Amino acid sequence: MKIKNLKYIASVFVALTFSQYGCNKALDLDPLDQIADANYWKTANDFKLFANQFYSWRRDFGSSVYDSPHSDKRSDLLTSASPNLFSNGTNTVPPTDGNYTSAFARIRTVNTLLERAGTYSNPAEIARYVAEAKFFRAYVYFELLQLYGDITIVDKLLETGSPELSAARNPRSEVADFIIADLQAAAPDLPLQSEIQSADAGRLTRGTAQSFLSRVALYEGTWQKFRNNTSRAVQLLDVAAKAAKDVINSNQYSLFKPAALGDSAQKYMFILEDAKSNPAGLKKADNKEYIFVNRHDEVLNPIGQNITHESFANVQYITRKFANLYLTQNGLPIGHANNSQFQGYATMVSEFQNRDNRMRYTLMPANKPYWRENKPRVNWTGDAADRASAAYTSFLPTFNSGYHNQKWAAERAVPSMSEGYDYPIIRYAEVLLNYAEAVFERDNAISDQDLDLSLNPVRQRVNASMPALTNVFVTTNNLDMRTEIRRERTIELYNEGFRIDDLKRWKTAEAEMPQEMLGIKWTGTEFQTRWAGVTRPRNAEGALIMETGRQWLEKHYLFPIPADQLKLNPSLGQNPDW
Amino acid sequence: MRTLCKESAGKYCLMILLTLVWSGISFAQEAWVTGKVIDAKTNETIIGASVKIKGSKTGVTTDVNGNFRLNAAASSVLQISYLGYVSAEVPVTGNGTLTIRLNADENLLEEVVVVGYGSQRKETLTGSIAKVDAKSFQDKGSLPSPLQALQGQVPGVIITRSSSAPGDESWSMKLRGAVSANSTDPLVIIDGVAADSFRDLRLINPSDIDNISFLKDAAAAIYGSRAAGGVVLVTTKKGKQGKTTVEYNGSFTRKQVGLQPELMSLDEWANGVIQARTNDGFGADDVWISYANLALANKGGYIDLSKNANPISGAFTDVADFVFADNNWSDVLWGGANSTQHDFSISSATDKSAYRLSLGYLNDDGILKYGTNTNKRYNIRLTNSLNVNQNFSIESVIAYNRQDQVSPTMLGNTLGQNYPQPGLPVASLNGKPYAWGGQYTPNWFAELGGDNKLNVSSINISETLKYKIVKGLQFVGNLGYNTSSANRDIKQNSIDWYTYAGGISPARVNPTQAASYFQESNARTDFYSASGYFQYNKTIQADHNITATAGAQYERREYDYTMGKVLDINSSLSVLSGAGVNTTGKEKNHEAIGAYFARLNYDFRAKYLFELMGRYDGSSKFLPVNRWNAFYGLSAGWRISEEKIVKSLGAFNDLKLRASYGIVGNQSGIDRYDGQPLYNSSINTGAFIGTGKLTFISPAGTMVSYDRTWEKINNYNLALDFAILSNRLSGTFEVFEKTNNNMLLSQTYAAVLGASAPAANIGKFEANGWDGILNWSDKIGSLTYRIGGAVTYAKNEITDFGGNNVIGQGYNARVQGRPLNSIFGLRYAGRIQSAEERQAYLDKYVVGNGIGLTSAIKVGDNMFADLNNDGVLNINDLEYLGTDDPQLSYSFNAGVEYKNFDFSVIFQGAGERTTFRDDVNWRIPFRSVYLNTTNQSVGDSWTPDNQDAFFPRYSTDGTINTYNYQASSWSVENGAYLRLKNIVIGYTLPQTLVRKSGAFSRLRVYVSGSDLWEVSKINDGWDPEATRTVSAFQRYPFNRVYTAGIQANF
Repeated sequence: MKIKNLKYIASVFVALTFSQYGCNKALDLDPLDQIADANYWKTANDFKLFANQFYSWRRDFGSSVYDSPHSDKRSDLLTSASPNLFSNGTNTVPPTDGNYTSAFARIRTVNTLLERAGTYSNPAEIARYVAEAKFFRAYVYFELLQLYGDITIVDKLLETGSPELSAARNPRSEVADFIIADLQAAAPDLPLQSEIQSADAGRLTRGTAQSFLSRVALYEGTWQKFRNNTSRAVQLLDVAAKAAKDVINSNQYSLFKPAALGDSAQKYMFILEDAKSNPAGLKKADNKEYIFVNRHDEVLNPIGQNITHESFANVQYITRKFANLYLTQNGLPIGHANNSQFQGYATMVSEFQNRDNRMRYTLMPANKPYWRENKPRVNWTGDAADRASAAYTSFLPTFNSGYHNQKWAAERAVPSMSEGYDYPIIRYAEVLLNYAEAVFERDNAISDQDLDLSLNPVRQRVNASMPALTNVFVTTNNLDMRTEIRRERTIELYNEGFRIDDLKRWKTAEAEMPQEMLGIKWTGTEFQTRWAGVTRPRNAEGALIMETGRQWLEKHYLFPIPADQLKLNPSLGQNPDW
Repeated sequence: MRTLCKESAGKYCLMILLTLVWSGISFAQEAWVTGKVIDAKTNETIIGASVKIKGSKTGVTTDVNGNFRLNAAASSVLQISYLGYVSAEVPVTGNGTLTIRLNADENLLEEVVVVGYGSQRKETLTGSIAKVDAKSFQDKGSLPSPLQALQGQVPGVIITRSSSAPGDESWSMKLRGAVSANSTDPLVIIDGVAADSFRDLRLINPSDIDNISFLKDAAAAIYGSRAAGGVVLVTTKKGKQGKTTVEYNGSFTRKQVGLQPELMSLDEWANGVIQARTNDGFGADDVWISYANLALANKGGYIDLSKNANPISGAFTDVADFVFADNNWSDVLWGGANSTQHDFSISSATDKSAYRLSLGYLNDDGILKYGTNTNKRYNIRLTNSLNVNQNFSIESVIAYNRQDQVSPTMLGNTLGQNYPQPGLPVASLNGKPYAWGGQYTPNWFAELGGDNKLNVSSINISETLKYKIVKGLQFVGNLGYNTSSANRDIKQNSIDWYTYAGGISPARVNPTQAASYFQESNARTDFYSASGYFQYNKTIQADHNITATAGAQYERREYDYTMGKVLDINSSLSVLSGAGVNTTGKEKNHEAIGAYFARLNYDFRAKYLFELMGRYDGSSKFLPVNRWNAFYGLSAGWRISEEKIVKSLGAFNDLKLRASYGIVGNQSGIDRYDGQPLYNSSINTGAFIGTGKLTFISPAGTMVSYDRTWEKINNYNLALDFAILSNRLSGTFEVFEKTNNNMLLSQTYAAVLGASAPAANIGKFEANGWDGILNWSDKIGSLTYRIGGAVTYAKNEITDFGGNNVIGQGYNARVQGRPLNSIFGLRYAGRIQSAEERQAYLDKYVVGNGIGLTSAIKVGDNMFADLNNDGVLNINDLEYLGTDDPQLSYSFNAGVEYKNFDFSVIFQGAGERTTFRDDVNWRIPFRSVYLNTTNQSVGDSWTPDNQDAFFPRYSTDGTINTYNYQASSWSVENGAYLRLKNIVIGYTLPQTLVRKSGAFSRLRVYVSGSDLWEVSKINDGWDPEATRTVSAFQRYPFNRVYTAGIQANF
């Protein structure tokens, strides 16, 4: 090679490497695997795809059956091997709180869609997704309202310098109005249940928005009522009653009450799957009661929690208080003076006799067979072969509290974690009970007609012969209408994440929560002989004491604001007494 | 010519050579001179030494016996030279055979140090540059990474590890510690081309490394925006002037399990359960007390519940049997393993060209006794250089590195947080996986759960062209290309679990067939680099030496990742085929850096030294307006020993004072595309709506930045080099300070913002420390010996977090006013010893506390101090307890050579580390009653009879355990240690013996051991080097390693 050539090559090389043009141009690089905002928000489908993520935020078994702010484990109905801090009133101010932080991240995401929607050329095209965004903003804010009371309202995309970051919280009434406004704005733009295409099954409906509105307005209405803010309460309870009525009148939903399942209808609704999961072989499509669900499927979207293991006579210790709430078939409480149907506690099964049928399908009476996912039903007939396969061929309840749970436990053969029944976020029975309670609390009275429209169908779904709750029945038997409405709600919605929120809004937690948590009556009953060596203390009546020394202070009606947020913005102010 | 001269044909070659020489100079007045060249110290013959007649071009090289013969005039002088030796001049004295003794060049000052875009003599160096050479990697057995050989031994270089899992050792390297809350890993340059990450060093064969330079201070500024963590320049071996060298190194290594926590025996566990449950107020009817008593009564036996009534009525309804084996699950899982390494190289060089070809093979087996767990590395490296003519040369390095690693897919299940209670058997009676209710014996996940196979193929090409334009001016161009392709095949099989009797129940399948999967991923990284620079040397009036370098560089990195996963597979297939759901993943990005750089060196008589360097960098990550930035470094040195007055003292062989200052950059905390709000697309992973899971678009999570730029780090260094007592004692001591005044931080804002704020240049960070090295070497008769040590002390502090900063209990990555990775906790205030003490403590603090204190505490539980004396125990009482990063790192070494024996030993240690173990199940006895825990607490937990115990009373109550074991001055661990890192005994066979064999020119055998002994202050049984988070790979105990090896030259 000649020297001249070498020089030529070298100078080309130098020219290339030193070219400022080449360098700058070669440094302009665009994203390859992410979408830039400027290229998005061009079609209605862009809004739909963005709205899709909201559905990941819904409650599921993990946020209800397992320990979480709304779980019955934090109420007076359930306890477990180790005491729950929130239930016994020993929870403290947490350094950080994911409930708080993630809620605001979600609100920002919703606001992103709403802000981009504001400049979209054809608003009608995207009205449904804007409605979905508003519903989910309301959904997230209701969570914040229930947990913390006063909370900062954010309805736009904030910057690091926005005043909201250092502002005081908005009062809860403003928050409630904000939620209600979002839900009322969302409802008309959402389709009816019957209009939902199969590809959209599980998406929001007008009924969902209205049902949720009844829940929110009832919550805030009763909260205000029992804190002596009557005029505000009446106004909110009216919203609640009307929203529930809208759902009833829409004729889109009905209670799950197939004749083939008889008095076990309610039980099998909770574990309904498309594989055979009940003696009648009914499938999810047969259920018109679920209004808003987190859908599961054994293959496509299994529950992913050890749900049967959790629910089947194991970690959930049911309290005596809950067991005693069930009426007898004559419609009377067990302690009622005229109640001849109640059989007392002498044997392990006596208290289950003549009771509301939901009792024997939710709890586990002794001496009966019970199946679970790994010891499943084989032919659903309950014959000898079926019984031989059971986890308990003849259940002996002599452990834990003596009362055992079976709600949410599968009976069919299915790998653990792969159960596929849906989680009902809102079901029609709740809407009916919301209606009854909203009307009663609004008017301090409820007509028999309204009771027959709402509460009585729920009660009589599996108790065909139980007398309806009427004003006469109440008067005749010297009952209290409010107590009976609340009883029905507690029984029907047990273990679905309502109880502790109900006690808070009724302002009865201070009376209910400090009570000792009891198990079965042991002294002088069959248990005493069948369950020797019990070391748990018994109370005066002879019932096992599962948990004592509980407390509920005024501060426990709201969660504390997490310490980190208070430090980041001292103007937030801590909730009272924390 | 020389390449023809293989030993076998040596005599023949010599004859040709002689004939040629004879024909050229036969008529001069000359005579034959014969001689032998040997090492002055060892008397070993030197093969291939150059013997020239001074002032002529006539010369020969010594033969295989060190002999030479040439025709020389009687008055002439012979010049004898050989690389690594001081050249000698010997006058031709007439008849007889000359014996020429060459002294090994031990004068370190002659060393040449690679400094980035060039090299410098060590004597005129002004920057802080530590250098290690090939010796560091010898005798260490199989080395999965070169870093393994350097731990603690290079001043200023802090190397830590977190696992001994083959291929997943997770070595970390920091030059003088962190300089930012963002990652500041050093930039690694291999033969002039940047590596993607310092982790790529694991792919290199350590025995291919000729030397490594660690640029610790402003000397790194020539690499500008990426030099914040320092720069590591790796130079691989080249063909060396001289005869063809063929070399083989082989070693066999045996690994034994080192320190690890021991789990409780069945007796210890059962008694502990009884004690814990009794403490919690449970009576004899408690299921776990019943179970523990059953275990004690039936040790070694089992109860089949299909044949016997359940002795614990109503409980354990999901189990088929009670087995009371007495297994130590640590011993079940871990055992010895072997590894081997073989390296072969052939090299040669002439004036015109040089080459070196090397092959390397490493096979490293894991100590996990179940499943396949190996790492294999294959290396080929070919280095060629060609001097095209006097002015133009090309050097070419081509390397192919391959890593084949296999580990169990379900390693996380095997080494997760479940440590079975000791009763669980290793297998069912018929040798099948055993499950006890929902608890699965962990070994079978590794054994049957499928393999996770990683194949990394990387090709590195570096082409360097050097062209001398005129005298003193040279152009150097480099083209580099690295491509690396990482393929990962993960198979997860369905596993059937059995009862002890060998029966199977349908639900005991885990993972289920539906959850079985095959995942295939490919990550490809292409890296292109082009650089060119001019270098100019000029000496003016013999006193002023000037070297100037200026050039430009463009580097671009392309990354492409694809992933496919399918569920419900046929386990015999290893392709993406299955009946279940298919998911795919894709990631693709690119980034580029353009740069101009320059350096000016000036010295006056090699006595006063100055250096100035700068770099102007542009990055694709920023918006064009923020894109370009300048970095620079300047340094000066004063060789005091060159001053006449000092020289006259005769005390100092070398004495040099150096100082430097510079600004280097860091861009590790920055995402790729500033100024654009980005959305991620998630395919079929959302909520289950319609007929499948939703696809959705979601915000990328962080708000957009429009104004950030590189972190700029001020780097100060002051150093003293010295050598005294005829170079026998030498050392360097340096102090440094680094400040980062525009650290990129994602400021924490109130959560109502709803997104993470973009990182902004709002923080401040300071680091300082010192490092040094001291070596003594001497000989006594034929015994030579050396001792030395290296030490690094580096501490850092986030001086400004740029906003509010919330301290959490336990580990905190970043806290203002504290070092990175700080541990905060309560101050332990002793143990409750009486009911009165308990009541007083509760009365004082239970109301409104934020530390989980409840009235459930009892005598025997811990107390904590109200540090701020506000009457409330909460987050405000946390105190700083130390940092998880060792601030002190050091080593001592000693070596002796006597006749044919050599011995060396290295101790290595670290200090000033506080760690807080994350894994609660390991740390808290009986936190989960159905699991086992480490036996550290046995006999050392509080009871009324043992009030001085280290551990609080046993409890299974979550509230109590969380309270007692929360981060506090009591629950943190002191991570200081000293360990015997390496010990070697070698024997070089005598030349006479070796030569007789005919096959070898040198043969050495050695045995060595690594990590054989240590002292540590850890209370929980883990190795002092173990990580805070001891899960999965981090649970691999470090090994005691024994190696036998051979080094042969042919």
